[in-house]
Amino acid sequence: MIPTPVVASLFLLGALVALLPALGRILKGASSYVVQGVMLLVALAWAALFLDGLPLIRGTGWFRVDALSAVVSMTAASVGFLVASSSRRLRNAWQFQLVLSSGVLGTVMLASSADPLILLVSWGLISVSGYSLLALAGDRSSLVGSIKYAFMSALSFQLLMVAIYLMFAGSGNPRLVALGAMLFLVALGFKAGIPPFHMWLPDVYGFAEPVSVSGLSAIMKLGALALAIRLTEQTVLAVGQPEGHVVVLVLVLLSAGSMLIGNLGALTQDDVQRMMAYSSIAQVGYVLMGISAFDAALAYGQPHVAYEALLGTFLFIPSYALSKAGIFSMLAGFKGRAGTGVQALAGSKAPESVSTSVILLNLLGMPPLLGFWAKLLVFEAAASSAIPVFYALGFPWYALYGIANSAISVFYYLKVLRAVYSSGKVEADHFHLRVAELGSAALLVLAGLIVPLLVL
Amino acid sequence: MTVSFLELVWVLPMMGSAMSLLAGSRWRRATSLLSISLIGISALLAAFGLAVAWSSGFRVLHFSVGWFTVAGKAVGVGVMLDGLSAVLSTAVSLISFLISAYSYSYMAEDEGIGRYWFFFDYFVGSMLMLVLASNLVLLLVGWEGTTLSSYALIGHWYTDEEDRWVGDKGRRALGVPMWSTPSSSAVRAMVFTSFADIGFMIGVGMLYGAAGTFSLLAISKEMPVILDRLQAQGLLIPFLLLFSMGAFAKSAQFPFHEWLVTAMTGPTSVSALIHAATMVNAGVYFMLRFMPMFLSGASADGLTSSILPFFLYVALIGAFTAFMMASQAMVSNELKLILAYSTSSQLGYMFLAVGLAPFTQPSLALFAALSHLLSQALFKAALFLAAGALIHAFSSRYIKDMGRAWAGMKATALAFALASLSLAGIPPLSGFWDKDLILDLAYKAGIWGAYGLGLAGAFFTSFYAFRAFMLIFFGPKEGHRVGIRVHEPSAWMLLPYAALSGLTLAYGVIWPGENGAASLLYGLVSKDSPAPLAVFQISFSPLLIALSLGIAIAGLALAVFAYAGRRELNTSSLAASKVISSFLYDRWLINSLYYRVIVDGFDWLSKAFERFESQGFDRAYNAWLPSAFVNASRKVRKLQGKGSITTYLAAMFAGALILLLIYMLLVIYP
Repeated sequence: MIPTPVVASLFLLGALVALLPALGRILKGASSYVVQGVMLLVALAWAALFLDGLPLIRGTGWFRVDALSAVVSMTAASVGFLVASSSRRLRNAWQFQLVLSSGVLGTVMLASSADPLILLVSWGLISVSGYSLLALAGDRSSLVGSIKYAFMSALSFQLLMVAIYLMFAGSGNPRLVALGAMLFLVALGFKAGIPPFHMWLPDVYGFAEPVSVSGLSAIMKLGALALAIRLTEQTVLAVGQPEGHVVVLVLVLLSAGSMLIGNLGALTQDDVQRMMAYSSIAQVGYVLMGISAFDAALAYGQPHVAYEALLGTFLFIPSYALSKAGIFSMLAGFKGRAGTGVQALAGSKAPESVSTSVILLNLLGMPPLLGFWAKLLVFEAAASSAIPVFYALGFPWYALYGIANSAISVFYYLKVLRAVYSSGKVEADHFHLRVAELGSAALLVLAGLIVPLLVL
Repeated sequence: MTVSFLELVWVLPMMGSAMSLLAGSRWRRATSLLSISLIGISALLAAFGLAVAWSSGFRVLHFSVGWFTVAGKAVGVGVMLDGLSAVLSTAVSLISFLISAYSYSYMAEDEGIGRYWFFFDYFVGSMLMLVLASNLVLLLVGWEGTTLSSYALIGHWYTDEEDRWVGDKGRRALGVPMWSTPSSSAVRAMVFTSFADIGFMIGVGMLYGAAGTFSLLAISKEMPVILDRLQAQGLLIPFLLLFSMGAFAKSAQFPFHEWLVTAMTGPTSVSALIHAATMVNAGVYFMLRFMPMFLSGASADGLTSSILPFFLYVALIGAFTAFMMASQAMVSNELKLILAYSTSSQLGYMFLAVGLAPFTQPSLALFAALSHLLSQALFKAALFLAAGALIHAFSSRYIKDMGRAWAGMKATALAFALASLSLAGIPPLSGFWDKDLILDLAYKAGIWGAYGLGLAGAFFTSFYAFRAFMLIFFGPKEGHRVGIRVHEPSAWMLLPYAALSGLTLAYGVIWPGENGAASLLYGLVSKDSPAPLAVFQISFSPLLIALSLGIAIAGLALAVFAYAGRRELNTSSLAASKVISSFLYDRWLINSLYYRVIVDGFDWLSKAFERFESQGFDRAYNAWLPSAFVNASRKVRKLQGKGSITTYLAAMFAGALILLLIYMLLVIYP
């Protein structure tokens, strides 16, 4: 029995993908409104689930309806809504919207399933959508990015297949499952841009068409992250020690490397688009911190910490995705004109300035925005447990390390903010880009105000 | 009988202070007369308080209004009337009144007259507040009030014109300037006394910690318990040293004496106020208020032997200060400076007397200190006020510029002579009785060092007093400034110091005898005061009297012989005497050592910290740390290379191998 929101999403998005060629020819750019309508319906279908209350994460089955799949699907649909608006800026808008919709479809499927077949199919769908998004932009940098991404994607897909085989066919042998988990983490590292598997990311995010990057960074990563939560949870619960601990340890190392490389890379960047590319790496590091704290709490039997870590991770995913969708849409306005250097942002108009401030402060983790609650919960989970690997010499080094990394990030985020509010001359953005920016900022503020009332 | 009116004794001068501030320098005469008359009324009230104390048989009388509550204990704005506070408040307000009357004429032309009266009345009010205060908090408020107003009055002429300086311009000792401007003198006074007040405040805190109350009467009753506690913690001697530190600085005892010397930059009336009525007497009052409590408390506990080292220290510091400052006064050329040295020296005798208490008859020693306080207040006020008139008449602060003053200022000469005789300790003036009593006690206590220093100090004292007298009134007139006319000052100025020298004489004449001033005063301060004293018996040893009197007369005679008939004491023929003379003239080099060691030491330390801060911390924060991050950031971005797929692959496989290695190390071969 396939759950209702999944069915609704499959049907709606599937129909949209099938009809878009026709719609695009008839409606031209206005096809975006249809896409946005569908995205809204998908988001609502998942949001409705919360009315009855949901388990945070649910055990087995083809499709699982739990808070994880709901949060990721809602985020993907919301971001799809915003990016669809920016897409009207592109020449081949409806083709872009088609690929975008199939990416959202793949993400919804991947987020709600850990079945090996569905997993491979949806992962593939997301990958194809990803490099198509880049290619459709049509400029040289995007095409180069597309090819690089496609090549690396193919490679990681091989690894994923081996990993899935080991994890599911090895049934029960902890060593094989753990080995599979290692290979899965390599594939995830590629998909989500985790050092040392991130090398493609600064080049693609930093140079390609920002509208494509907004879809790529804000949607195409989400499914992989959701899958990471499910698979590592299963592994840790299934294999016992020491294999489970190794998975946690590797997650911790990946997270630590991600935060450091991302923040250091962004620190001296003077081009905002490339800075945001590195910032994506750092942000995924915080998400991994939440996942590792969750898995560690499971491995060491501390359910309340696990709950806190998972909640923080769930908040981090939309915080990250909405911020990136908004900021890259904003940058799309600059790409063809003054360029994306920090100084080009000087003298931004009031709506852009405000939304940029909200987005950057959210990435920084300032209250009362969503990013603050996410960081708070994740850092607290990393510090409040008595999990040995997070402590060294009595200090919660892992949480402190995260805070130190946040401190580094202050320097580059505020560098952008200072530029935004210094004097200069910038034309107002295209209306449809503005929808994406303001929409993401508004959602971040709204979520930041509502979330503590709902979950704390 | 309620003694609520006593609050007015200090409130009235405070009101005068506030009104002077409001009136400013606009209505000069009105402001002056108001300030003077309020102090006058305050003096009358204080005298009435003395009569009340008398008529009530010297019971301790209390009055208090609520102020604030600390830890459930009320601290009030309260007055306590006993013999000590009655006598001192009367003396303080009376002498202050005479000095304020003198100021009416002396400061008439001054531009900052409003400021002058503001701080003058505040000074007098603060002093009376601390004398009458019934608790330590109010005492401390008055105490710091005197610090603040002394700072302001010493620096009254803060524009630092050269004729307001003290010391010889250009003279240096060990490279340290030996002259001081009003503004720097004011700061010096503040720094010296406030530094010592830190100790005082710590002491107050310790006392409160041990007693749980600020009330003087309650503290007095609890004293055996308090001392017992402090002794048990091994804090008894540290407590006594810290608690009395403020008093040592206020009364200019070594090593805190330096501020009093340079305080001479203030108007002469202010010097008189500081030296006779207010500031320096606060320290002696403090000793007379608390030392009897410690003595009786310690004897109740059987701790007397534990507090003896402290009293020995007080006695020796007092004797040493008396000797040292008298020696410096012998060579000084500035009239006010001579009087300043003299004050510090005389206060040394009072501290010597206090320190002798547990070694002889305690009550007698304390009485000697009080009596000498009164004598000193009277003759020193007279000397300073006369000095103001002389400096004004000769337009110079140097005694060598004066000479032949007798011709034009006979009344001043008489007043000055009477006061100087008292200072020198010639009978029947009061200075004789007190000083001989103190030396007598020192001898009987068997503290030979203190006795010797005191005796030598007495010789110096009569010498410097009459050296100044002879040079001023009978010395050569060659030094006179051009165009001066030696004349008596106005009656406003003359009458106060004439009255004061008259009082000096009267006090000395009625001092001895069965119903003399001494026995009355003794009865007043001993009966029913917080710590009762034993019965009064003065028995001077004739031999000792002969010795000290002989020494005083010898000093006097030497001065008269050396300086009469225009003869100048030629010391330059002897190399050794030149060295000694400039050692004394440069104040035993103590001032220079303070600057060389303490000021320069801290300067060096602060520069070292500054260097450490700028070379270490600053560089680390502003140079090393940022450049480390910038370099790391550049390295991270360089990892990207030119963005070729081969780099991606290499990194990816390296990463995968690392993960597999971790897996193998921890899972396969743990």
